[in-house]
Amino acid sequence: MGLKSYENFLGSNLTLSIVLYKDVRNLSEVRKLVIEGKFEAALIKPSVVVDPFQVLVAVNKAVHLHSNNKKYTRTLHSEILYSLAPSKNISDSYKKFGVTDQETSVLIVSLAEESTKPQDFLSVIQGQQVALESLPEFTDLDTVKKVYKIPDIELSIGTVLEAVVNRIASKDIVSL
Amino acid sequence: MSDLSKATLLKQGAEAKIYVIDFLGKPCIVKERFQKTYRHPDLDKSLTAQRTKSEIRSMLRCRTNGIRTPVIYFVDQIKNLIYMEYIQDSVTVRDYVTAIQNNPDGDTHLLEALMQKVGSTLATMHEKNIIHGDLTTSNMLLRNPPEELNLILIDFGLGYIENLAEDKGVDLYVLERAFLSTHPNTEALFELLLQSYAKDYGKGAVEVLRKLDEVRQRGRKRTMVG
Ligand SMILES: Nc1ncnc2c1ncn2[C@@H]1O[C@H](COP(=O)(O)OP(=O)(O)OP(=O)(O)O)[C@@H](O)[C@H]1O
Ligand SMILES: [Mg+2]
Repeated sequence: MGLKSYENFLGSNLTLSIVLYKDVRNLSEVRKLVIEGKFEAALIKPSVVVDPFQVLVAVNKAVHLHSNNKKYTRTLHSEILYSLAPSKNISDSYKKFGVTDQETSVLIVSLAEESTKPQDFLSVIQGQQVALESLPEFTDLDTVKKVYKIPDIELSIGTVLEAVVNRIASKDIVSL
Repeated sequence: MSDLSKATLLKQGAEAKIYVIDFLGKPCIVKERFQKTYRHPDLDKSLTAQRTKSEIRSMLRCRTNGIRTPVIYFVDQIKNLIYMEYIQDSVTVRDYVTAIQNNPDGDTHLLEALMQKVGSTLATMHEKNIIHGDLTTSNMLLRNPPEELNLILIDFGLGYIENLAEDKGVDLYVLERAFLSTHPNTEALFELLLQSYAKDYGKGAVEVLRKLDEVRQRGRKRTMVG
């Protein structure tokens, strides 16, 4: 129901899947599986995401750096998390954008070959899948504005999503 | 990313090719600065990389200060491509001014309002020490309907950050030259632009306008000699 997938993402042989969960009871177990590399995914805090497009922009960038051997982090999925953040500080990016054991909702982003279906991974999760359209209900706009350092004047000429996307796309060139 | 050889070419500028693509569901243009064969390849590469960075830096700084610029979607620093929001439903200020001037019933109030808008936008830009570097009416877009004066600045490849009045004066001079030669008999209109600039800039404006005058005189001397 809530799973959104993009096949042949950016012309690659990879499928991008994005799923939103709430009321997750075993997030520490899920995180452990990802940290141990049993499943490849980025586990993102939905509170700092305003729109799926924000994630797409970060994934696009991560894929670009990955395929040109220019990643800043170890894996494609950690690169997605890092790309999402406005900061060049990697551990700070993980802290602000990655879920913690305390959280109950999570946005799961995974980029994998067609053969590895995300279903196996998803079956481990004890929680409720929600439609991606309800993402705005999980967004904490004040936190987003703070994390991405968005001044009010910028919102007089554009949206929060635009401000966020601008920063993700230009972070290697401009540090705010 | 996507293969540009299959993309639609929208414009072929002096510096760059502008392609239109779909970027993950959004209308997008890709700006590709092409090689200048008369330049040494290494120099060309570093200049192109520098322009790409300048463009991104200035666009971001504009937006954080309330000046509209296209949203940046992606920067390919390997191929020096900028992917940005395609302002689809828009007209360049150049075409808009020309259209009104060529229309016998053209509304001059619209032009006056536009000049004021441009003047006050440039005042904000200069107050924040952003120098555009290539101000022309082709590098300004108006989202439709143009009467709403949703002014969007583009083409910041020669942009930089500087607080010197001299640089701001030169920025205005470049616009003045381009404006008066593209749009005949617009001296009075341009004066309006400068008035609005001065009003919104505040106390630093006197200095900038004095520099503008100096640059004009230098320009005149040069044409008299040459
Ligand atoms: N984001 C955009 N949305 C819509 N149209 C655009 C956009 N960016 C550029 N254009 C169109 O393409 C033209 C050329 O773009 P730009 O000025 O960035 O490149 P350039 O090569 O420096 O051009 P020139 O040498 O003609 O100044 C603009 O005048 C405008 O008509
Ligand atoms: Mg131009």
